[in-house]
Amino acid sequence: MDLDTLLGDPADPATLFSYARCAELDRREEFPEEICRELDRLGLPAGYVPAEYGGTLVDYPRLLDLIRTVARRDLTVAVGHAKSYLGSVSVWIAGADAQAKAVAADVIAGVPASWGLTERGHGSDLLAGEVRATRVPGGYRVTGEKWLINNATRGSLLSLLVRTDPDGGPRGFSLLLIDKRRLAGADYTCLPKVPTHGIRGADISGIALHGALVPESALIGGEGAGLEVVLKALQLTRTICAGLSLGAADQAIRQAEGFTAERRLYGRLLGEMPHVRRTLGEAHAARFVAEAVTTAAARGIHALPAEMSVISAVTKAFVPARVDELIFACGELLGTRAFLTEVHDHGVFQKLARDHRVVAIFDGNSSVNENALINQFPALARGYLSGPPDRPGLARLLDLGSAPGRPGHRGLVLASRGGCGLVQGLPDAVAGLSAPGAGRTRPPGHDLKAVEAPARELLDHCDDLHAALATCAPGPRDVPAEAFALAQRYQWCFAGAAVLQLWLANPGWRDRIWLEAALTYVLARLGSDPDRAVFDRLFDETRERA
Amino acid sequence: MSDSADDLRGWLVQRVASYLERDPAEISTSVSLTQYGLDSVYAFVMCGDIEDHLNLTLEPTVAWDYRTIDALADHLSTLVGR
Amino acid sequence: MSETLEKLLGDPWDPANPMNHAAVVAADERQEMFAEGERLLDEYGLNAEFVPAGLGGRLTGVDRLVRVMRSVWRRDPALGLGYGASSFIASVNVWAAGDDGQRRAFADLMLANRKIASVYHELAHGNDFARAEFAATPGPGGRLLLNGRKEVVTNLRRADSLVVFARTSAEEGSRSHSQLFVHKADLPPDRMTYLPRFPSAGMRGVQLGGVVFDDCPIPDGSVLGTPGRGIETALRSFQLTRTALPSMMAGVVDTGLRATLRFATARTLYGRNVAAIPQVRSTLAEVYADLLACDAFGTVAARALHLLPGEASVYASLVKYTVSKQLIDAMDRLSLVLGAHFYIRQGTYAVFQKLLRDLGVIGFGHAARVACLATVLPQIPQLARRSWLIAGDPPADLFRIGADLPPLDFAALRPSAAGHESLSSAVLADAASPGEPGEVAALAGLFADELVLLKRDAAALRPRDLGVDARPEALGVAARYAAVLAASSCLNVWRAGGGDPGWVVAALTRLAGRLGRGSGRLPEAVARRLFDELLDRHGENRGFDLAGLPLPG
Repeated sequence: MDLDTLLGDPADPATLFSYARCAELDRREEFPEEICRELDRLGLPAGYVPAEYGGTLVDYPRLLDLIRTVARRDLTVAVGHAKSYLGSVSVWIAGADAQAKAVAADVIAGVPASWGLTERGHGSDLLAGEVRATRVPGGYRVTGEKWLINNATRGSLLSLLVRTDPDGGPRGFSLLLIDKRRLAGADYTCLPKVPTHGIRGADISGIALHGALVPESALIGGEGAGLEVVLKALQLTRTICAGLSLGAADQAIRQAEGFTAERRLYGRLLGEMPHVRRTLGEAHAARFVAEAVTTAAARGIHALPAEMSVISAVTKAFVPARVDELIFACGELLGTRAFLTEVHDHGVFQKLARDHRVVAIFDGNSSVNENALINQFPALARGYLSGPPDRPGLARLLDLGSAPGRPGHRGLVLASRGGCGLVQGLPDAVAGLSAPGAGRTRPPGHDLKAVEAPARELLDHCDDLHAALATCAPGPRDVPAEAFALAQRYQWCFAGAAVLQLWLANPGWRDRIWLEAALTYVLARLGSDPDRAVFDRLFDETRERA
Repeated sequence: MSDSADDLRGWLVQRVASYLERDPAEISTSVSLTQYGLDSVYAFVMCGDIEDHLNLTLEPTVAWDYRTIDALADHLSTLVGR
Repeated sequence: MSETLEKLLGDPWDPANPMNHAAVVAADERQEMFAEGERLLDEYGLNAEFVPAGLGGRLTGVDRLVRVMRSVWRRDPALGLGYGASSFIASVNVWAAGDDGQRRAFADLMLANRKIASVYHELAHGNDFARAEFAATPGPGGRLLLNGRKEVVTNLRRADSLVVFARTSAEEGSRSHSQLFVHKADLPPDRMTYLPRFPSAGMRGVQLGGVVFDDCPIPDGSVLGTPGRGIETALRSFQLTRTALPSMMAGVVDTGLRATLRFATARTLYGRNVAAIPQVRSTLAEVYADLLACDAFGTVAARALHLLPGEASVYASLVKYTVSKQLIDAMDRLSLVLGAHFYIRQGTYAVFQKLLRDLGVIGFGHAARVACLATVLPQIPQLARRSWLIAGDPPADLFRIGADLPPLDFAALRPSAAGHESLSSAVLADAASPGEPGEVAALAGLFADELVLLKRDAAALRPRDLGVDARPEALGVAARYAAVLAASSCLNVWRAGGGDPGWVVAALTRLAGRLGRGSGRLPEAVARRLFDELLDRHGENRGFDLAGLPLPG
């Protein structure tokens, strides 16, 4: 049975993991402890642990699906539970074997793990961190405060970024795996829960360490490796965040469709009105594009780990932003019902709208991720001229019928040298559309003719963009606002390239109308003026399927 | 222009049929316009068209008060006749 | 005046001020109205702002009303709605359709600091109030009996009197509804049952109530105006509220921008001030430009209620459509600058998340955005034929911010403009001032081009496109037209007032972006000019609107 079936009908208040209960917990600002225990019982935590350490994580697309399934019901639960992955992922990337096995056993047993990066006053500026670990015989004494940490209070395991060199700098920080169960009571204080706009039940708190003694074996990677390991781990967690967004998108569309299918206004069903069909059709296209980007990222962890510095930054900047837009559009259809907290499935919509806004903030907001892209502009511009750096890897990423291979936890690099194969593969993919014999093997309704023109238009945008990237090499400071505009265009080009190449590589995956709608969605935002009527047809198509 | 009530009725049937994208033969002059789905604000479209056709100024709510083509045609012919 | 009110409200950031942001946030957390604030508004006599001067109130101009109310919304949107707007919405029906006695009674209640609820909404029918089912039909003795339910009504429970929208005839059509002005004291209590309060994600302190009436008799003479004219009364009187409410709500983003500026200038990230990051500066400058554009459009539309009442049906709905989205987008962009601090319900910036939640009502409250487009759409072919590109100049006073206005004439408000509209054509090149700076003229040209295209597209609209089955592209004609009206407002307010064209260049650039003409991003030099001005205003503690009046603190 799939997870969703195991969890029971969310609309039934008698179900443990129901809309009603999540609404009530949200009102009381209470952590969904019981629901998380149920997820533990169903074996979810093993999914956060790589197979080589005894878990069931062999396939990131599958992990994304699990997180999406939970997030669809409730984001607070997903955020609270999946944190154990974030709290342990640094160990999968850089931990010693024995350390990884021990952490794995804990996580699989349902011991919550947490990830302590941010501090009051420094936000995303990790190099300004003040929590310091001073060497003493046998280990470190750790002092200072981490704040706005998900699961800081509940978590028994904490991956903590600490300053090991008083002078700081990129090699001045280290990651320590702190086991709160082994600390004395006087060693630390958990900080009060911070009341939040959404995910009100989540344990967003902090921890203050008062000279806690931590053994040397707690180091993840070597001393001084902290920043590097964190930046690599973020490539994975930023991808995971997209699963949260997709779950929210599923629920938002579900709510809007359910409402418009039964609501009568002006003498007809809302769902029959042209602007409603257009809005919902576009929402489907938006979600499909977000899915394509997320799929590329999740498979990229396996197939192209060396390019994840680009792929994950695009995914984190792009997917949550698109889903926030999608939620707004669905909310406009729901009107008053999107505002009330106790009607219409216990106010699930207004909850997800508040909850989801945190996804854009987690693990680096769009500016942070766009900055990461801007820093890689020279490599992206160069790479565009030479094509995909790893063609077999790209082919594996795109072939949805094949297993993606082992996760590349240890193959991540801080900055992709060869650029981004997916975007750099676009010229070949578009050229292939008109090659003799192209599309011969495609099933009916999947032929290529109708997508040639939009694909070429996408390529034109992509060419223009890369010409601009080549002349834009901002310094590390005073990045002009225009560079961010380019980084945003890059995300749209990436999204278009992902959806087109995934579709081409997987005949029979989705009907052609999905691709047409997706390209329309992308091209409209790149400044073209495509005919949006395809969204109406897509909406009809989804109705027929329903 | 001196339209008789009958001329006006015929013209209104054509207009209403065009609003609804239906065959004029399907339009009854004694059925209320609301029942055809011409709602309160849509009545302003009709009012504007009548004004242009007859070259006179009307209350925008004229089609709210004269709710069928028959009633409207009678009312308009009196106005034109004045 | 708004200065008096601002002085009473005091510095919102002062920890010693009982009217500060922290107190507002605390009331929201308790899901209560902000009691201190209500007392203070009683003391100030805010209700008098909604009462025409002829009836003893202070309502002389809608633009002035907006300025005063903006101070309330700037402090606490829940007060703005739950203390102010709710009675304001009810009042316009009475001014527009009530007889002398009803107007007097309403004015007296208002001036005695009482609350009056506007009882329109039925969850099952939303904006489609022509299908409202709630009925007032004559009973055996000839008295009207109320039957049915109303839901999500502000202040229903604590109001002394109600303006109720009810079906008074079973016939279909637009002459079957009426507004009733009733006092709860006159109603038998056993015929009226309150529904539980509707809790909401924003405006948490505002009491959204519901009620069920069961054969509830009301006194004779409760109907406002001629029975059956309710839809017409609503279409006419709500021109005031659709114009004024979104424009008042710009005060919410004013505070949002102020909170963000405080954050950006106080916080250090990557070794320097957040406000020094170019990306942050352009975001803040763009939000400021959006606020000025909203104010220009809102103010011109408010002045049009006095100067061009016959055209106001067009402007009102399109102000609501345009300004609501610009304000929502502005708050969303500011939230990105605040990052995690936007998400926290405590501390210095906690007010921001409350404002963001509260502002949500602007999209659907009182009329959904798309319903606003649909209201104007049937008028468009006629407007295009009779006015676009050819209308004569609107009165010069339309654009003279602050100039005296003739009194509001409710009888002159029409449900439709009958094709007459003079604001859009005023976007065309001004022959009288050939010396317009090139960057202004170029931007104005974009909107003139758009109006030419719009006229072509309006002529091509099919009859079906004007009604419920309108294609999104047809609704898009109304939306694009709204952008031209907003641009013309900005341009002509600047032409009338003169001065540095920086803001008008920025405002027009932003509006052009909404039309898909350019990215909407401000060129670096423009952004810098505007950001410097913004910092000055922030330093001098002045409002982020066209008037830029000093604020306390």
